[in-house]
Amino acid sequence: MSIEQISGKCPGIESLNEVYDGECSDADIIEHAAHCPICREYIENLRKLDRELENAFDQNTPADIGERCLAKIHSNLTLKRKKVFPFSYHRLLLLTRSAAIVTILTFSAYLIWRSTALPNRTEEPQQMFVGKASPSAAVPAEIAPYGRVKVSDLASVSFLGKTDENLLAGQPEKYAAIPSSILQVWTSPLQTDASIVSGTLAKLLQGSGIPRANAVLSSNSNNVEIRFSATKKQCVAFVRSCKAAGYLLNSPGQPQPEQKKFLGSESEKVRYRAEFILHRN
Amino acid sequence: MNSVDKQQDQIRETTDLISAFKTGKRDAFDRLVLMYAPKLYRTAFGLLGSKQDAEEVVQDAFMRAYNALDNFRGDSSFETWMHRIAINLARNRFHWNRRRGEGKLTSLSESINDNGDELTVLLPDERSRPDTELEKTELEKNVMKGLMALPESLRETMVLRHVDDLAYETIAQQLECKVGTVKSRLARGRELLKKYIMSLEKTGKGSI
Repeated sequence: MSIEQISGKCPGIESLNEVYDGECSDADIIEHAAHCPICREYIENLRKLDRELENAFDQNTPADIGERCLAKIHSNLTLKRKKVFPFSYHRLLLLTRSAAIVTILTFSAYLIWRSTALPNRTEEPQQMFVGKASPSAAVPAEIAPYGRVKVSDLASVSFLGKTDENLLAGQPEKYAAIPSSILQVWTSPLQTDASIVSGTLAKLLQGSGIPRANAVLSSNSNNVEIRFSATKKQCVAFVRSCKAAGYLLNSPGQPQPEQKKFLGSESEKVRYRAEFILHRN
Repeated sequence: MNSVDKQQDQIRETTDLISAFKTGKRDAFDRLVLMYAPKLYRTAFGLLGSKQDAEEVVQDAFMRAYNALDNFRGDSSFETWMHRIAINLARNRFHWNRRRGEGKLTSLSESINDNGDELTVLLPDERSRPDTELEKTELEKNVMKGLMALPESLRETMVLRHVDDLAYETIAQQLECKVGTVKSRLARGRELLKKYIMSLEKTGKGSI
């Protein structure tokens, strides 16, 4: 029986296939297929084909296919684990990276806090260095009152490396320096950040030909105490630079001094006794 | 114990093993492999006609299942789920093989003549593989050749019905088609296969 032979009273091929597969719900068809010799033969052929297919698959299915798959799967899983974590260094690397990120974030947060909270800080003055040489000792707190410094109270004279007294006696105007000159710089309230103050001072000092200075940012106000060694000429230039930059040198004493009167002329041989306040104009 | 009871036991055991796997007992997966590998292998072999390809497909299917089993919700049975994975992998492998030219000669659709009712199939010459030649009986060999010569859609339906013994409804779900399509594919596939085997026995040439 084939497709061509199915005709008349016999159900269609699909119906007979349903009957064979147990999927037919039509009782009449099932009844017919059970008694019709042609349909029975067709179904028997289907059964034979089914057996042949089953045998073919049984023959080609290895008995140990489960174990073989299992071995391969275990092997793959082991390789995969090794690939994900080739060494224990991997975790170490992850931890190191995490630690580095946390450190960077913490440091950034600290810098931000420092820049915003600086005006209200109460800790000890911080020392900053402007120039090339290493900073000298910090200025004692008692000689750094708000806005003024007595030059006569300061440390010994510096001659930019030249300490020959004879040389000093011979050409004092050339080499004389304001003894351990300390100027107090009154910055504008906005310029409280150490780096900004440092930058401003560096410009003023370099413009005056002063190669190096040691500066201390005061904690209780916006003062900056600067210690540097310079010739009289450099010191005058520094005062002028401050004035030109919008800072005025004032004396808290009598009267309001002009800078030349205050510091004297460049040829003057006397030592100075003065008080300085440098503030924003 | 009848076959229905056996099936119920297997479903229960599978559920227990999956639960154990999800709670961290990874060894439970080994038992699942041993239980289902032969069935999946037969399916893959029926779809691909190659022992090596079938074995690799089964291994891949289990690897995928291992990675995804934690997220298995049980909407369908584990067996259905595994079958779907294996069928998809086998399909991919089959198409990949065909692109490489390995399956070109096994396609029936290319040899349908103009009036569409006569099929002549040229199959790969397997005489160059004496080991397989010896292993198979003539009939089994012819059946497998015929199965591999069927168009892909018919072969898949035949395999799911004859090899996996799935119901029409389940086959339709697996292949994402209608039940009516499954019926017609089965009838057509069986007819073609019978014709092919008869032709091969008579003439020694795979002509349907």
